[in-house]
Amino acid sequence: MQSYVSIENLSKSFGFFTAVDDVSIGIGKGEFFSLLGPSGCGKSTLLRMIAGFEAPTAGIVRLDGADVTAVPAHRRATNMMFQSYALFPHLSVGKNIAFGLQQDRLARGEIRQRVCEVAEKLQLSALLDRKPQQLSGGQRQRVALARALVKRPKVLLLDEPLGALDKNLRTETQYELVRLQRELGLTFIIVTHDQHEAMTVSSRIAIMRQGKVLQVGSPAEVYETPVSRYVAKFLGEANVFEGVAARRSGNELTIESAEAGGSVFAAATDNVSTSGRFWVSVRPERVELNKQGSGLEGVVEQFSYAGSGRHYRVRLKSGAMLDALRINLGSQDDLSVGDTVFASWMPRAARLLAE
Amino acid sequence: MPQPSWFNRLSIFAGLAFLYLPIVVLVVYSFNASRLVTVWGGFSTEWYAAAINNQSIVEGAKISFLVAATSATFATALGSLAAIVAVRIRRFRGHHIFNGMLVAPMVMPEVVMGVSMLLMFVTLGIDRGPVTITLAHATFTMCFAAVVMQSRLAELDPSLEEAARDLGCPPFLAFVKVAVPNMLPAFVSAWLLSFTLSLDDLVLSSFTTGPGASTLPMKIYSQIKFGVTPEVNAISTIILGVVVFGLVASRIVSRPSAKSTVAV
Repeated sequence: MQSYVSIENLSKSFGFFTAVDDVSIGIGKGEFFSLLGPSGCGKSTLLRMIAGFEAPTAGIVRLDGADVTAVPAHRRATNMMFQSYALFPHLSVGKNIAFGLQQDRLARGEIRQRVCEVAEKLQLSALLDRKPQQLSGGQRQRVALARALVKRPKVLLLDEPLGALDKNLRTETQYELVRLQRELGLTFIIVTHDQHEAMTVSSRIAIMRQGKVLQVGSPAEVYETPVSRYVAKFLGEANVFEGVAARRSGNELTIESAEAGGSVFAAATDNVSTSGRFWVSVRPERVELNKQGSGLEGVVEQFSYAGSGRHYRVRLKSGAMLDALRINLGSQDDLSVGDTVFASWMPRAARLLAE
Repeated sequence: MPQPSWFNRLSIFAGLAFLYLPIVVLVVYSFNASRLVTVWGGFSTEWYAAAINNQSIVEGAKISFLVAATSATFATALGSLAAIVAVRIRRFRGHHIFNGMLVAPMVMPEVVMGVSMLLMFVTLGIDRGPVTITLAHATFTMCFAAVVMQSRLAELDPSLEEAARDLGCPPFLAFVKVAVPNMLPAFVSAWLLSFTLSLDDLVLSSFTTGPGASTLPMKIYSQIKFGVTPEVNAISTIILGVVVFGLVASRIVSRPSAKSTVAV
């Protein structure tokens, strides 16, 4: 498939510091693509190179097939929504939105029509005469979005767009963004450090660390089949134990793990060699805790009630910690701190990791 | 808030009196009907009339205002450029030295500056007069203008200009369309501050002046050599009024909340 936005071997160094290190990603038309990573992983620098604010040290940015690496920001068919929103304080909301169209020297009538159109879509029609300082956080966020969208960019770039909103409004706005993106059929690239946000909005996620892309895939792919311990722990929570030896029987592996203090199970895979170092990863919600039976023996050390679920931290006999999550289905809780429990899981719930 | 003790009240009163009593006396005695400076002879504005009709004083005032306005304009322009370099480019070779030297004239002894400039003008063979005074004033008020501009520029979100560029504005135009309008209050504030500093300067003016070019403070200084007259009080009061107006206006304009209180 021909990528709409194509990033080829892109690098950016600031002095001795390499912010983006040989990154290649292809993004399809109409995708909602996330760049996810902790702060300082280079995701914002990558976005700024796509926008044209930073010149890459090496590599190529292609937009709709054309090499735009040398095209300055003001001539690129991308528009950006800034983390600080960057609304012009001396202009009204209407003039803020019209700013980009005026740069394109469109006719007054068309500018007015397009501003009204986008204002209506984003419920800003009543606020067009206000100054940005007179708006609430959520309203400012919508103005920033409107100002970028009114230009009908090939790609909309969003730099931590919801960071300044409180939690409820943020969730609401995430769904709103997805709806808008589908309606307009635009390509969105969003930068975020919030894994929950990335999973909620994106069609695909690129997980970044120290300037490199570790994995690219749909939210389900990245969550279910992480390539490394880092990805497994960054996207959601994971219990990871190092394996010593593995025995295969059919589709199942039985793994000896000194770290876990016994045998654990995982689904068989050909991707990971069990002759060198390898690890087993299992998500807390897939761990079953029973008072009797088989599995890894441990003692419940901590318990926290999180509404939708109950978190248990179990100290295994080996000394390692195991996190388990029981979804709250309304049943009575039969475990308390100090209880001896046996932890187990279905073989297909666990994954083998090579690094 | 806790009530201030009698000692606090007394301290404040004594402190303010120490600072402002001489000025209050000056203003009060400028309305004195008596010719004797220290004897109250009833209320009168005759010394204001005398001051305004004093050709020499009016001449000095004209030079002072012209010098102040011109040097303030230069100082604001140069100070803004320096501030842009200091805030926007930030990390260039020698930026510490640049920032230090930018504000050094603030604490430099004025006599030293005066002597050095006099020497420079003499060496270059420039005739001393209003032009040299203006140049000297622009030099020393520039650092104040730069500081005012620097603090405003530092507050300005750098992504504003990026947003303008992103929306199709070339870089220089983005600066003109977005940064400049938001720096306008700082321009006014820097200009007014430079203006007032130049208006009441005596030392630098004395060093860099030439024959026939006496600013108002110089005229006043030479007058009191022959004794303080109520006329001098009146002129001083007028200058005081202009300076206070300038400072207050500069404060009001540069107040960041001044923008957000604009009505719908």
